[in-house]
Parts: sequence; C-alpha cells; structure tokens
Amino acid sequence: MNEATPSQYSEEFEVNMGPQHPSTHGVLRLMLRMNGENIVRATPYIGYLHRAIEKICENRTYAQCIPLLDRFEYVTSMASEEVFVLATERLAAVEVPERAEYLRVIMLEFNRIASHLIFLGTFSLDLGAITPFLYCLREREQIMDLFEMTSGQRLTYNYIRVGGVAYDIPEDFLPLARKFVDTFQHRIDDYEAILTQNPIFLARTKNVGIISKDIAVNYAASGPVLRASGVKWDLRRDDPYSIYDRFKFDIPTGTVGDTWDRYMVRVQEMRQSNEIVRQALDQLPQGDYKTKMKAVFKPPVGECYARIENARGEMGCHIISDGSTKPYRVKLRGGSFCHTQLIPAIAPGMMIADLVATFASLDVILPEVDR
Amino acid sequence: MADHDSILKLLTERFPGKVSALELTPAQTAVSVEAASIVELFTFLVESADLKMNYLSTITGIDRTDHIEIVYFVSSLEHKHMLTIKTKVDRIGGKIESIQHIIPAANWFEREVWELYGVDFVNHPDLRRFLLPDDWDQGNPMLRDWDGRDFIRMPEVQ
Repeated sequence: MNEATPSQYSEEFEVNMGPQHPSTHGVLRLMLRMNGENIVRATPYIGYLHRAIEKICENRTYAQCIPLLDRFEYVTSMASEEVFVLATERLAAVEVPERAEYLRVIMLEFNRIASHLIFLGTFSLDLGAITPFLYCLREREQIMDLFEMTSGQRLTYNYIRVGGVAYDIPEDFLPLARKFVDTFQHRIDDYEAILTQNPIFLARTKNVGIISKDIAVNYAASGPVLRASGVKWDLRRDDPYSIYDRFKFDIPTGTVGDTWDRYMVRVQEMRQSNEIVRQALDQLPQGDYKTKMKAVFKPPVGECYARIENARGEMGCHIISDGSTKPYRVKLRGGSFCHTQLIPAIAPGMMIADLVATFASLDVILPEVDR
Repeated sequence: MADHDSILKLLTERFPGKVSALELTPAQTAVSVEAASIVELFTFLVESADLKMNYLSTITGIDRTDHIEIVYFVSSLEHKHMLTIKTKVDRIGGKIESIQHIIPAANWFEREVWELYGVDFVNHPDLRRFLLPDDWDQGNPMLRDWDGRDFIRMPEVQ
C-alpha cells in the first residue's frame, strides 16, 4: 500500500448514506461530506415516506381521519389519535367521561413504554449489542397483547375516538396489566444491567453527539432530547391535558445532552410511565367509556392547536373547522421533524459511527417527519 | 409568567397599528401581524425578558381561497406561555421575510410552507424541494383547488 501524504488525507469527498440503510430507521437519506473519517457537513433529504396525510384529511370526516392518523406516527399510534381527538374535542367542547380519560392515559403510557422499548432495542442494535433488542421486544409483545385484546389491533389501534374510547377493556385486561406493571420495573433493571455501566456502551455514547441547551431550544427539540440537554419541560406537567395533573411522576433530565443522557432519560421515563399506569389502574373508576355523539358530527367554526407529550416530544395538531363534517385544514407537528433538522447542526466533526449512535439516540421515526 | 391579557397588551402597545389582538374560538392568546413586521415582532419576542418566546412549535399555512394565512405557534419554556401569530400573504406570489436567522427551527418549517403553498420566504438560505419529488411540476398541492384524488404518478421505467 502506498504511503499517503497528509494532503491526501485532507481531500474531501462525499458519502451517500441511505435512503435504505439499516441505521437510518426508515428511509432517510444523508449526504455526508467527509474529510477522512470526519464529517464536514451532513445534509438530510426527506420526503420518501410522504403520504400527504394532511391533504387527505381535508377530504375525510373527523371519524375517518383517526385511522389515517394511526399511520402518522405508527410506533405510538395512540398518541397520534389522542392529539387529533384532543384538538377536535376542544373545538367542539365535548365532555369526556372519567373512565375514558383513565383508559386513554393507561393506553398512552403503555404506548410510550412500548415506543421506548423499540428505541432501546434498535439503539443498542445500532451500537452492536443484540441481546437488549430481544429482551425489549419480549416486553413490548406483552403490551401489544394488551392493546390487541382491547382494540383488536397491534399497531394501528383506531381506539381513541372523539368523546371517549372505542371499547371498554375486556375482563382479562386488568390482571394482565397489573402483572406487567409489577414485573416491568425489574425488567428495566435487567436492561440497565446490560447497558448502563457497560464499558463499550459508555465509550460509544458518553460525550458523543452533544446537543447543548441553546441548540436544543433553538431547533425546537422536544421530549427526551430536550430533557437530556437539561431543560425540564414536559407538556404533561407544563401544559396539562387530559387528566395528567392527577398523577405523581418525576421528569427525568440529563446534564450534558450527550447520547448517554438521552438513553438514560428514556430509561427513567419508562419507570415513570410504569408508575403512572400503576396509579391509573388503581384509580380507574367505573362508568361510561364514551359519550353519546350525534350521528353527524359537526364541530362549530373555529380552530385549535393541541399539543401532547409523545415519546418523541411535542406532538401537535392544528385543526381548522369551517363547521362542516370535514376539517378545513389539519396540520400535524411531530418531534422527529425537528430532531432530523438537528443533524446538520450537530454532525460536523463527528465520525460516521458516532453519527449512527447519535441518530439512533434521537429516536426519529421517518413517517412522522414526512407525513 | 405573563398571562393572556398582559401579553396582548404588551405586544399591541409595542407595535401600534402593526399587531392587533385576535379573538379565536376556542379562546387562545393570538395576535395578527402585518407580514412586513414579522421579523421585528420575532426579534422582540425572543429578546424581551418578559416574554422570552424562543421555542417555535411549528409554522403552518392555511389557504383561505383569497389569501394565504401563515400561522406561527411560539412559546416560552421559561414562562410557560404560548402565542399564536397569524399573518396574511397573497395567494399567488406571496412573500414574507424568513425568520430562520432568529429561530433556526423555522428553516424547515418555512421550507415546507414554501413547497406546499408557494409562499416565498425572503432571505431563506435553502429553498429546495423538500417533501415532494425532485422533479415535481404539479404546483402547490396544499392549495384548496388542487385536487389530488385523480392524481396518479407512475414511475418512469426504462
């Protein structure tokens, strides 16, 4: 092999990463300008999964929008239903029965746990650890079973409806859910035993992909990414919706904003979500699970922006009603959109392997970016 | 933490004639602003110690058939208040100043509105095709009169 002179090393070249790449979590294309091993510039190209959900919603009734929105952020479909339903209910001032609110919170928090499990699994897979992925999917399967026995679906639930939820929980649900909640905290200890203090894991994540507080806020990062950078901001507490003010839970934050912090924040959040589910199961009242709605649902003229704390940060839905059966305009906002936009800001100077770890820690879901 | 009335009072007094309070249903803190003053307004929102609104949730467009409305949702993580800002631009050839040099998050939000509604964001550094295919030539699909129900795009096979 010829000996290379330093000038040859410093020649810049471009590497195309994606759209089909195991660590881009869907179809994201990154154009990387490299100097040797180091990234000089990263340019994301999105839109491969653009399905024009916002446009299609304009031609559907409110009820018909909900199953479509399951495809907006399919890893936490419950949240994408909730945000749309929340905005619609605020528009039309619909009262939701107590029991329905509790069922929603149980489902939303279970879904958050399921989503964080997917994150933990694929994140460690990207770093080369295969075992946590298998463990995580094992627990996620139990949550999927609970969803399936309630809504009939494992991924796209169509469960949260305007005025309540679609079905009451079946008899087996409560004992199984309690069993899950009781065992899950020990499962998290298992994951942590494999990862948290693992030297290889630490070497790959500590001080990698640091997102400072300023960058996080300026680029409108939200959810675990924002909290890992040290901003204590959680919409469940800071802009309360549904009945989240009735539960006690902590908001875990990081200090540095590196990949390890983002991992840790999510692990802690799973514990907190587990506690919220436990409290909700304890307090679950009897009663109706949905209000009786008119056969033809027409919210009054108006507009509303609702936002909720999803596993991937602030999920927002802006609905404009012209008083007809179909929304005039639906705008969807997902946390992943802003997190993808962060990449050009933080990638310069990184190595590709670190970019893979950092991108995995942002937990981006591409259907949420492209809509 | 500034409440609904004091935010509106502060802004309408600071920008007389340019910013006016908006009544929306259901009630929310909202102002409308002239398109020409958008940069001025955002500079104030970010720098004012009472407001510190530097967290931009999203920017969206609405086709009102005679004009396009651009809506900004901005909030403050410190003071925990939120503001909806609305402005109007022309439906064809509408122009508005970009705010991405004040809040970087606006970059992609504006790019999306530019692509889907055809609103030109002046001084935006990167208005390239975004969600739509690179060779898209079918206009701005989020306009109300754009009907995509009979639109089938076939890939070119060679």
